[in-house]
Amino acid sequence: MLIIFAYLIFKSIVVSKQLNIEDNELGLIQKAGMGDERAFTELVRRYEDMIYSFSYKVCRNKEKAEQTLQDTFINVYKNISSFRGDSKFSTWLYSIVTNNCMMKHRKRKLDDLWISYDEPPAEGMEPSEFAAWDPSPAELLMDKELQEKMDAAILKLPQDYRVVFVLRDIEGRSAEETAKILKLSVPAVKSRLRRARVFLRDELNKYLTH
Amino acid sequence: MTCKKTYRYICENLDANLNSPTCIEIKKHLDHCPNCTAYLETLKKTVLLYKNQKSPKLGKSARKNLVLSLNLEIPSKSLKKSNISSL
Repeated sequence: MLIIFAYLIFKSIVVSKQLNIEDNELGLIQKAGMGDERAFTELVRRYEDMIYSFSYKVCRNKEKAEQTLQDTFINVYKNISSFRGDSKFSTWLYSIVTNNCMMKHRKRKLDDLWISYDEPPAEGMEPSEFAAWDPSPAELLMDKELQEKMDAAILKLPQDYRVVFVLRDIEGRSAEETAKILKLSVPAVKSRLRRARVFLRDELNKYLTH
Repeated sequence: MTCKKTYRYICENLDANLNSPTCIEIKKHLDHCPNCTAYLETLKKTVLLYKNQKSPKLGKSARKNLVLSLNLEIPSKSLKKSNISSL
């Protein structure tokens, strides 16, 4: 009984702290929207790492990620007064970063010709195609050459698919939030995610089984 | 459940609810299909590898450039927590 009581008190403290943070953030956003530089600076401090990291994961290039970071906050500064709180602030930020990433990316001819990854592997494939990758992910991540292969593989993905993969599988956003950020339907997000996962798996498989 | 259906399902629903009717069927298929099992494992490892891949941190000069581009007077990381409470 005492344990349950202590747990309920603990939980209410955690929830109230969470609400304080959210209230505090909404207050910051409103103040920043009214031109309060310190409030805006605090928002920059809170989100600069998240935005830079996300931009880097999409662009795989430090300079482009830095430029995207700057452009994103310039857009945030210009538009923050229009943020109404209908979505989470982070969702709104992700949509701005994504737009900036997309604008920096020159669509390649190859993207239009992107082969379909909707079909399963053909029957009669060599057994090695299905071979397990023996080393653990932690061991694999020590392999410098694999890191390069991973970067090269993700850069081969058209940006529309890469952004979905990064948001869903790396950033851990839900299908619904990803759809909202990218202004897509949930089935479209799922379809792009499926194709991106299969493509990346097949690219790494070439290196890990041959 | 065929390999084709399994393939499509597992590629889309790596983190699905394991008790859904479709998932139970998938599990049954995976129990006797080593190819699909190996495929699922490599797919999961792919996601895990990308998730755990390290990316660079925002450096001091990049942070300085950000502050300059935004024309902010207070460097973003130097705003102390004590100042925040007064906002």
